[in-house]
Amino acid sequence: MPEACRDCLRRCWLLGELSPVLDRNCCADGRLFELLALSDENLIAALGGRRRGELLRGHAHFGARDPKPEPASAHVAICVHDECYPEALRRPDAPRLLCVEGGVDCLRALASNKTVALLGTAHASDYGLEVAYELGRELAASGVTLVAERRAGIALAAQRGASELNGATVLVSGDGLGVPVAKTRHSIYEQLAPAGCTVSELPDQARGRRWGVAAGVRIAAALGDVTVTVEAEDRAGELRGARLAQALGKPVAALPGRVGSPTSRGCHRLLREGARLVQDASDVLDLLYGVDGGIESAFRACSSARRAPPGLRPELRELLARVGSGLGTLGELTRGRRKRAEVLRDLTELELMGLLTRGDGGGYVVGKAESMDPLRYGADAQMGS
Amino acid sequence: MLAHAHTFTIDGLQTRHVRVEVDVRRGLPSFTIVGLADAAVREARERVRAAILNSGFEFPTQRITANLAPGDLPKAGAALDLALACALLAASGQLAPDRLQTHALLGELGLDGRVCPSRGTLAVAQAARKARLTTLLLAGERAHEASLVQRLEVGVVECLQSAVRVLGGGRPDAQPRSDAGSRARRPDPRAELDLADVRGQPIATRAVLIAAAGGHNCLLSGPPGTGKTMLAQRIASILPPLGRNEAIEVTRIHSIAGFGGGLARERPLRAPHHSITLAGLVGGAERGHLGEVVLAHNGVLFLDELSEFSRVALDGLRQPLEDGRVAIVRAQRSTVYPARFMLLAATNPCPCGYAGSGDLCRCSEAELARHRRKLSGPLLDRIDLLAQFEHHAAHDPNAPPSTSSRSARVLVRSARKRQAARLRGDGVLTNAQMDARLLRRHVRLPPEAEHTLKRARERGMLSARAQHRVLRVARTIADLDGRDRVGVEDLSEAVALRGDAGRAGSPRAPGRGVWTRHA
Repeated sequence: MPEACRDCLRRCWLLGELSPVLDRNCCADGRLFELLALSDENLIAALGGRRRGELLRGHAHFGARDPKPEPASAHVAICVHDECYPEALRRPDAPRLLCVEGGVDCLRALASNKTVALLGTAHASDYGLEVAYELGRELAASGVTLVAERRAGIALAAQRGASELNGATVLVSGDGLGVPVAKTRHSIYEQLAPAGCTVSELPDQARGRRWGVAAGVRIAAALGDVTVTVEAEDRAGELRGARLAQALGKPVAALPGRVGSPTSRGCHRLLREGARLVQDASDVLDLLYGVDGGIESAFRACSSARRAPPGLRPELRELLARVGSGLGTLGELTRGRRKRAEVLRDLTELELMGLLTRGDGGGYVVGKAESMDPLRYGADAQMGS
Repeated sequence: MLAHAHTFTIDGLQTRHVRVEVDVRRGLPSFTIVGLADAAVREARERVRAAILNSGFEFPTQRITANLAPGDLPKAGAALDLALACALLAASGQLAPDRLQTHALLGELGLDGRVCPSRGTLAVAQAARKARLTTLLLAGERAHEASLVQRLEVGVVECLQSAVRVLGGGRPDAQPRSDAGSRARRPDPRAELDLADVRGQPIATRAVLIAAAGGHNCLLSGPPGTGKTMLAQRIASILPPLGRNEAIEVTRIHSIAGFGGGLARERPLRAPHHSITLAGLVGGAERGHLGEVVLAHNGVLFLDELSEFSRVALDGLRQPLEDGRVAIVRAQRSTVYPARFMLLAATNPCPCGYAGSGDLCRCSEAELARHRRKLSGPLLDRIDLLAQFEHHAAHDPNAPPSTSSRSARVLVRSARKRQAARLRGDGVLTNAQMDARLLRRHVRLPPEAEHTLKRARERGMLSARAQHRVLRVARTIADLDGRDRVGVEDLSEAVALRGDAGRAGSPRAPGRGVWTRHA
């Protein structure tokens, strides 16, 4: 298990101590991130005030006085010096210490995949919640890793969508990971557990910190290859993620809303300034992979094949990949193939296994992951092999 | 003086024997018709009076009472005129009454005394034979239909005078022309449409071929402009001709409906517009009205734009699709019509037509839900085959034809021959008509196929009825390939081509997303 180095643990402690001051400084745009980029000594000098001497002493004797600063918990802390630390985050103002719940390997795997940051207001309209849900669900189905904040509103709706398909999700928490989650959201985070992880840079028990939320957006924007703002008011705080992504030179996209809706003003401002307009997940995938449909369909094919159970015959696996790449009708699937009867037999076999179902107009589509019953699966896979 | 004559009236598809009794006696001159006659029959008084006078006979200036027996049976139509006139002439002593006992008379009279043809000639001829009458006198135009009935003399009479002459022992105006070849010589315009014109839709063509071979119901589904209607119009060119008994049934129905005469050779293809009502589709709009399903008996009922039909009308198809008959019950009467037809329907998968072809669908959730509601599950469950058409991008109009009508016809004919040989003595002709008992007898699955079917059942993919339908289609596929036993490939193809027809018209969600949602 990776261990965070002493310097980084000390940094985390320091941020915890300075939290009230950081809260006061997080309203001014950009100021917080300049502060977070400072070294420990300069940070104490800038924000310590009357506690400066006390903090300097605590800083100097950090390891000696408190040999075990982090109590044993379910999460792991990794620091910038660790090789597991996500490359996308390595920047001057990056969090020195990252607490990860759900496994470091999981974080690394998810961060190395294509990622999309879905950001938006916590006070979303019904429209915003619905499109966020759809977007989260469709992106999860396409095999993209979703990065979102662990908070209500747009972020929660997007997670719900993703969790329906058991999609890969990285949540960025604005609180310490030791803080219990609100009971109402417990079930959704439980669902996410097997396929995703949660990260935070705050000390374990820190909660209710405004700067924590702002810092969380910074991590999400840095982790996402594309940043999509689903719904946001026209305020600096709500558009922070998009601004940070712009600063990082990453593609920024936004969803339009109703003209009169205040909760979409921010998105409209972004669009006016040149953000890409997103209507559905395919627009996001275009941004991620370019507009060449070939890459996209190849990607979808591979993501559908990945869901195939082990022990599936190669022909069936290939057929499943072809359906996953967007071919649906019998005509498309049998064109230029071996004997038609064999293809039809294999398709029926896959349908019986629940790997394929019928979609619009009776065409084949890849079945939903949840419908695959592992018990039946074993028997079916043996039949098919 | 009293005289009577025999004629027939038509009630639905049934013919009813009517005895026309005429009594002429002293009294104030009058002409009364009793016996539940409708307006057309009551007006016969004027026609008969003018026809008798214009034919050079005498119209008795006495009290005339005509009774149409049985008195409780409603009579309709003008075809009773000839019998009425002859009975009146016999009652007034202008005609020897003895031949009226053995001759049936059918026809409407013109004011000048000419005999006009009437509907249902074949049915009347069959009924006359059954009533042990020796001769049927009627107008020339439809007489050849009546001549299909054996052991019944058919005499053509062009006018009232001829009828009187024949009833007095003379010769009829003509013998009915023989029906053989009368329609065969006229090429059916439908026969000129060739399956080879349909390019680049091999799966859909295959599905239609299977449907034609076994008489299965088939749904053509696809984006607009991909050839659904074109393919449907060509199904007539690959269907086998009618057998003798089937042809008589069809001719009888079409004759009653008043269609062109002659023995039907081609299977009927009925294609009503989607504005049709329930009564128009199954019948019963008015007394004796035949619905489209009855007119399509032994043939094809083609419903283009299935989703545009009214839901009520479509649900009226459920009974005929299952039982091959339709029982119409109204306050005064109930009638059972034969309605064993092959349903061919064409529809777009959604209102805009592009569901399932990539991102093209622009339908809202509400529109899709409305579309879904239109095609009820029970109706779609009765459809055996889904012929899925490819979107333009995937469909190559210059591809070589997958088959031609000529070769398809050969395949269909040999498959039907196998079915007929196997089903001989079972009372049905095609695989689609097999009931559960016949399925058990004629479709024996190998263990592997049994297992596949069991899994499909357990997954909830097939209802009990759907299983039977899949088995029938599998039997037909084996017949097309000339195999005696149904194999697992046949069953797989049947399941694949069933295409989840129960859900085919019901896209769960717009396909515009990257991934089609499945609720």
